[in-house]
Amino acid sequence: MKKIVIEIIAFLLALAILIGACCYLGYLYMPERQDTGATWHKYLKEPKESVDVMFVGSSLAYCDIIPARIYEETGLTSYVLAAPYMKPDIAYYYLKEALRTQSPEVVMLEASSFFFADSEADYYKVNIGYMPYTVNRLQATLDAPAKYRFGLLFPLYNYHSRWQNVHPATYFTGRRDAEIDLLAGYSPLDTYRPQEKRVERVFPATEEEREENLGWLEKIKALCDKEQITLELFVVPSCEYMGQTELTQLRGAAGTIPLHDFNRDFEAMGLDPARDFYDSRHTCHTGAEKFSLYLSDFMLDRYTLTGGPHNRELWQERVERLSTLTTKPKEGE
Amino acid sequence: MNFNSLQYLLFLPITLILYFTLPPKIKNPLLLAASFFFYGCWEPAYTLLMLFSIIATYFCGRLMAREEAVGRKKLWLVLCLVINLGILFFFKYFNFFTDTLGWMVGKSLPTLNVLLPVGISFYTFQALGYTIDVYRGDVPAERNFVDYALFVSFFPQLVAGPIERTGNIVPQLKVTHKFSFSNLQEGMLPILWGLFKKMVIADNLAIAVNTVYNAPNDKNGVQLLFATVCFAFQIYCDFSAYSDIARGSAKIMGIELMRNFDFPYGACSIKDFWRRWHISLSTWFKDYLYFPLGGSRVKKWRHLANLMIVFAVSGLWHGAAVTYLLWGVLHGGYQIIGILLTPLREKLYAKTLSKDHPLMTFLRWLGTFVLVNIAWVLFRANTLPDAWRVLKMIFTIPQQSSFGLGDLGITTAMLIVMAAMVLILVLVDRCNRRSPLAPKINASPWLRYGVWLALVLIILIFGYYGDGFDPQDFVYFQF
Repeated sequence: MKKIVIEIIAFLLALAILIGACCYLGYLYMPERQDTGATWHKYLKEPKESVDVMFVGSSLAYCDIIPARIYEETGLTSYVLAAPYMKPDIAYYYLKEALRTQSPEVVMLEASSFFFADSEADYYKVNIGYMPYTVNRLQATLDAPAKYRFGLLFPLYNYHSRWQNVHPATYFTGRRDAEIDLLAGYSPLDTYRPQEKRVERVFPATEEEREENLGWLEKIKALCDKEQITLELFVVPSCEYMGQTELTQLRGAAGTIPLHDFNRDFEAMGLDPARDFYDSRHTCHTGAEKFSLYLSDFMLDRYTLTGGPHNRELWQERVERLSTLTTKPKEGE
Repeated sequence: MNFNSLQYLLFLPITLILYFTLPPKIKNPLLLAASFFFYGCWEPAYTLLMLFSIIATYFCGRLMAREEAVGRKKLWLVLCLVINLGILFFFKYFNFFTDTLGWMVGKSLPTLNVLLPVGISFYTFQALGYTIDVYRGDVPAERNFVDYALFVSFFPQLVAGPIERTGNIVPQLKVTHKFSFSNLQEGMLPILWGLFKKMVIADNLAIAVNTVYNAPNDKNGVQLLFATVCFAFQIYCDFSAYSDIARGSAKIMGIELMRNFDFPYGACSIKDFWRRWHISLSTWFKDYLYFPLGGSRVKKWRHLANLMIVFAVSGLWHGAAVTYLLWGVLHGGYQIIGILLTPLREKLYAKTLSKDHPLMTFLRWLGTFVLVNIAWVLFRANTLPDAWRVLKMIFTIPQQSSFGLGDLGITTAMLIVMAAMVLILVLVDRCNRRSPLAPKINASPWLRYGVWLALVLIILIFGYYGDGFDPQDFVYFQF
């Protein structure tokens, strides 16, 4: 009997050490993510219940929207909760997770993602991998394509070869704690590439993929309704604008949800294809400034948001941080 | 389905659970079905080829057993050999044969565009070994088709050995094996040790080896020498890992497979090396080719010729290429020279230090290791001119202007870790040869789980797997 007990204790102890080591090493080996979306560790540092408007979307959101500029213009606090090529399924879980710590009055969802094809939106490893370990992450993982699931459930599988990048002392000290994001989710692009002309964007998503993506809109709407949040869809201004086919599809699926295509106001914003774009889709910092100014006016005209309590010092610091960013991006190759 | 894949991590426990829970009568049919599924994961159509080989050898065995007349027995044996070796020739050697013939007549002859069935040389030799044993009367012809089919296709050793003998496996398949915790313990250790050797050492060293050997013209002698030594450990760890995982998987089911490796790089002569390397193939050739040719009990020149024939065939068994043939011939040549130089060596030992003196033992070991590595160049090089260049560059290192290791495709940190892992491997192999470590490790639960834990963590951190990696095929699958 004693032998069996020792056997069980030794096994359980080894198993516990193994599980603990796997979890710790998986966390330790994950690269730190400072910008370009999926920066959950920074988002979770945001003071609770302090965001008025939540922008959700792909790189088109985190490259084009500057919350500090919007704050300076409107006094409204906002945050860009976005991730590279984030499809609506992930957007739904992002929003669900984000609403655990924030109660925005408006959620603005960048709508290009409804036409992302599975083949191009291959970012599940990053987009889900940086989410906090909650039921929402688990559900997002289970909904993700099968090839990603194991690595998302067991991060060491994805990142074990990074043992070479971790300083030995880090094993004892752990990773340094995340700092609050002074750009509130915005990722500035400091180079521009002149665009010759504006063209309609070709979305490679198949009809089935579009249908599946648009199906998630109902879930996002239901979530916002439940939380008494106003949901609005928008399309960022771009040198590759959204065509009528997609806009019609979107309007059909959106029903009563307002849809704003800011490509119609491209000239009104003063955007210059020759100077304000990082590539044909994303604005560089000067372009983001122009769009954010326009967005601020748009929000002031459209909403009668009162603006909840917020940390003024923090937002002032954000405005100051914004002023340090270069206003003259350099030309890229 | 590779042993180092997630699929096998699921396949083995499911098979084991079914094996131990199903009634005894269904156990072997289950293992047979599992083995065909395992094999079918590579190329489902080739399960039919294996089935054909099994049916052919089974019925030839039964027919031989019924025949009294030696002549008719021999007829069935020859028929069985022709069928099986014909299949092997068609899939493995046809293109080599036509290429060589075309080169000789100066014409381009048509070749076949067929995929080499995984492990065809292994299961063909195992089935042929059975047929010859039945012909000789060493074992009775197996009556139970399921048991025989399972003997040939038993999944742990199906695609890369050990090449088992009827007398060892079939009697074990007749016994009902119940779950045993000690079998589980004894099986888990070689599985983890095998995964360590494959995923940590072999697959990481393969990066450096492939970087150098796939572009030997850009590399200096030091890089080529380093890659050659790395390949020696890569191929050993790769192949012996398969045997270890096979033995461990079978052990959990209560079935003992033969030991296939015994610290080969500790050998002090080429003859000794072949007693320790791929033991199941060496003994197969000894029993079914070397002895029938007359072995050493013939005139000296014939003995030497027999050796050369066996090693040349062994080289060709490994692959249909001139490099493999020359690798075998070189090992045969080593053995022949070794025999011819025996009187001279004896005189040397008598005049200087004895054969067993530590310094002499070290020199013998070093000489053997160097000779084995020279032969590995032929084995690994993509072409014969590549092999020639590698050897030339290695032997002219002092005359070269460039000595650095340069970019080998892996980081310095990884190289240091690999050096440490190879050291651990050598120490464990050395200890195991003196006295098996497994019983000592398994005796204490603290030590046992401690070793399992350490191996799993080393594999998880340093192993070659995960996102962006494909489970690397075991090198010997292609044979």
